[in-house]
Amino acid sequence: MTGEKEIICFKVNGEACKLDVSPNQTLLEVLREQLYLTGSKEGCDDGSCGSCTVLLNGKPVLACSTLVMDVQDKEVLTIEGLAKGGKLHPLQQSFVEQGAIQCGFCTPGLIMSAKALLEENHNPSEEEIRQGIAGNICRCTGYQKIITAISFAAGNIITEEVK
Amino acid sequence: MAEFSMLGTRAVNVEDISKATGSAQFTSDLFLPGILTGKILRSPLPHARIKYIDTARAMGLPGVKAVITAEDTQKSKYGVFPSTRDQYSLAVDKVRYVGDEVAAVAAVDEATALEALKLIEVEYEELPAVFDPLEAMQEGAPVIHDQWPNNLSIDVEIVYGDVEQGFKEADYVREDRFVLDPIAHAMLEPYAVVAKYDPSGVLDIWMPNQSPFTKRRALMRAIGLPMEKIRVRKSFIGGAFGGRSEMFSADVCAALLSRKTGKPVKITYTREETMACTRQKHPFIIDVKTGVKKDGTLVAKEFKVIADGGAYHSTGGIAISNPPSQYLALMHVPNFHYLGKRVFTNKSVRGAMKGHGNQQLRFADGVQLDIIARELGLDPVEIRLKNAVKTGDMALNGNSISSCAVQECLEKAAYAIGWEDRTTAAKQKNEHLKRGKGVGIASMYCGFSMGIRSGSGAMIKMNEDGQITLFTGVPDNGQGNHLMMAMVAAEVLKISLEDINVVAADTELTPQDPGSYSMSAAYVSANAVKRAAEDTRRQLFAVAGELLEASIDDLELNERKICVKGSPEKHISIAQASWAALDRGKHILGTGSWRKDLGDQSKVDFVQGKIDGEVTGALGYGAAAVEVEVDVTTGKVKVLKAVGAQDCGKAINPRAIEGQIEGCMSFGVGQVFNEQLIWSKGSLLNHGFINYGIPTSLDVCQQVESIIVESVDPDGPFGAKEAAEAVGVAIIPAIVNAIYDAIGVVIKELPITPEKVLRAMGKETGGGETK
Repeated sequence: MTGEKEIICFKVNGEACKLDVSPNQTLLEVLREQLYLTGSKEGCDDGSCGSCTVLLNGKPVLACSTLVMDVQDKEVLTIEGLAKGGKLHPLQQSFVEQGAIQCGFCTPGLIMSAKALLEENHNPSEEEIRQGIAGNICRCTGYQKIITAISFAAGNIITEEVK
Repeated sequence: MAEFSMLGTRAVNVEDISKATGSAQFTSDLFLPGILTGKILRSPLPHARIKYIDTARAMGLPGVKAVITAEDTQKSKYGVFPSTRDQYSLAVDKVRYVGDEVAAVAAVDEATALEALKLIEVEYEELPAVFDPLEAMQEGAPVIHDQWPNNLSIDVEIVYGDVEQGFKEADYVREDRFVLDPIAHAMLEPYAVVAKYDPSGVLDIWMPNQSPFTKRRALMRAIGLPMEKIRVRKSFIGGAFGGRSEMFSADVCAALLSRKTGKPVKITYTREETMACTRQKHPFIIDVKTGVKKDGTLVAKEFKVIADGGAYHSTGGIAISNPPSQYLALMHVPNFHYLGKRVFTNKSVRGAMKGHGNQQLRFADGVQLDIIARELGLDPVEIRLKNAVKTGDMALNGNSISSCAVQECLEKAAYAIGWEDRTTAAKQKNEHLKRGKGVGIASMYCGFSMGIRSGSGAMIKMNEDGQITLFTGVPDNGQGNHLMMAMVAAEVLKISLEDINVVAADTELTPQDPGSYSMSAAYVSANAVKRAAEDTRRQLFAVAGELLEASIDDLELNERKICVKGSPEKHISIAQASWAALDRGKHILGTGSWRKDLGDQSKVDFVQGKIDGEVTGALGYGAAAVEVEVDVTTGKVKVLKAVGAQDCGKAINPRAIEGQIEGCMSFGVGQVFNEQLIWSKGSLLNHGFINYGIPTSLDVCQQVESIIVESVDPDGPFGAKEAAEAVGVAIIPAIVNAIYDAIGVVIKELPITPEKVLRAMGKETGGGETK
């Protein structure tokens, strides 16, 4: 049951938030139903599909398995926070160009996992990419073009940084 | 000029940008003012009579706005085929599987709705249940539907020629039994519905679907609203694979709850509900008996199929009768006998999924073909090439083969896998690891007769800038159907994709369409779009002809311009022509419809097992070739390389087709090795991804190759046909045959677990295997 509310302060996509939440609410619930950031998806009941992956202080977490109280004073980055001023993030650009998106339901979570992977490992091998996204289920694509897209994006991000 | 300006290009899908940024709205992403949360109460028992339902306590819970039972519905049965309608949206007198829908609530939030479900009192009189299809067919088994006292949901026999005589004439005859377990679609988006009933009598409803028109008609009957008052709207859809083609209880419940409360209602299924309470893939027990000449020519073929259909009919007729007709559209055999039974059991309902029975049959037939080839010392590729149909042939049941490049698909796939190199040395990696190669082929329908829903319509509206809005009824479940339609329009009108908006799959805005579950998007829906674009072109030419003082026959389109053939300096832009038309009081509005004339359909009826005639206008064909590595100490199998070759007629968007081939092949890996639904007394035990075995990036084949073959169908738009379900069907026997090649034993039961591999090799396994 909802019970008593608590106040929580945290940042989402660079903006400060102050919300009334119930202690038993998940971060995913709050993102989707209070902040209407519906890019993060609920695909399963048990933390096994990765569709709700967001970055919490830069680290990938499953928002469905993260209690909202645990994000107090932290920074959350969702898929909606990636594109800047209308310009797609290289991962988003690459996913679109490489045909790595079919139904698109797994896409936000995958892109967030990939972002975390590329921040840790700027130039991952195919095997490292497979490992890095093994927590994200895709039913449509067979993962092939997703891996290609992440590889391309890695190259583009390195090129951007060199510039 | 190149032959095509748009077709065959690797066009980018603008809808993908919405998906990549999280702005694409799937049904559960819709929030309307005042929206309530709906939840469904489900039977905890596999088979029971309902003695009474008392909703008073639930209604009294603060925050609950409505509770409904069957009394609030039309109490009309629903189902795809009129003769087999057997399912109520909320149970009237009986429940027939664990999860069967009994009541529904709408409340201010999910927690309140869930609490309200607990307060609904239902008294059940438990009845004996039956879970095994072979037991369900026995005398004295519990009767699940009074109308079908022998629990036979579908019971058909198909005969061509004389198989007994054929077996006598054959040089070699063998019989084998194959078994497949049920599997789940496991599409990423859980099922969800948002319904908004307006007091003026109009219902707007959103849900992931494969045909909004099928949904609308079924809803009309279920809730008693006239058809034009039901508007099934478009939302993004998170995968379907056949599992979203029918109406579900949540559609009716959300609509009725919205009507009762005066507020929009959203029902989102859990993953468990999606896996257990929508549809699943039929498990099959298949006995195949085949007679061949010693050179491999097929003489007689007999299939006996028993499918466990679960608690209701669903699209059972198709699951049973579609496979034999697809078999005959793939292979020549003069004598054919098919016995198909679909049996009721007190389990989740089985319906359409990726191949809809065809995949199951091709597994059995494709694997047995390899056994026969080996016994006769024939090459598995050669035996298929010898018996497969060709363009211009007539299948045994009277279906013309308008275009077929399955031979080319098989030759190319076999070459790509290195078929010639299957030496003993190549196969034996080391003492523990053995490698093998296998092939498979398949056919896949491009739609079939569905009465008024067999054809598609499309409309084009041009604005004064020469850009268009294309209206098409075909849904996009992720296949890229909407991009495909835009590309066809762009090809005819010689405009760019940026000039086209697509409005799709909305019963209020778009013309009718068969839906995406019958593999008809490329062949049927795109043909309607082509005709609408051609009509648009005619109207443009009528205006341009006047302006350019040229005959309409002398005009052509090129890069957004209408030109005079041979005098390119004489042209006007499409925009100018559209503006000029409006100036004359004419709106450029193109329409097109298309339906393949299948002739006499009086002997085609899937429910009755009648497949005499043109069951389909065209078929896609595919071949798969696979190399595996088996660890003979552990029984684990790795798919090293998978090649899929698809005859898609004409590749409208090669990148999308590659994506389909790759996706279908990964489905195959899952179905062969990892996926299995596990039951105990009618309850589904593994109803989440965590214990279901859906392939991750580490499980799928690491090296895949896609080959596109174009047979250019005479009726497909620019020659196009479906892609790539045929490969998705062919991959399954290909993998199993590769294992056979590696270790010399055939495993005839899916999924293939390490224990099964070891047992097949005659080795002891660690422990028992629970079923």
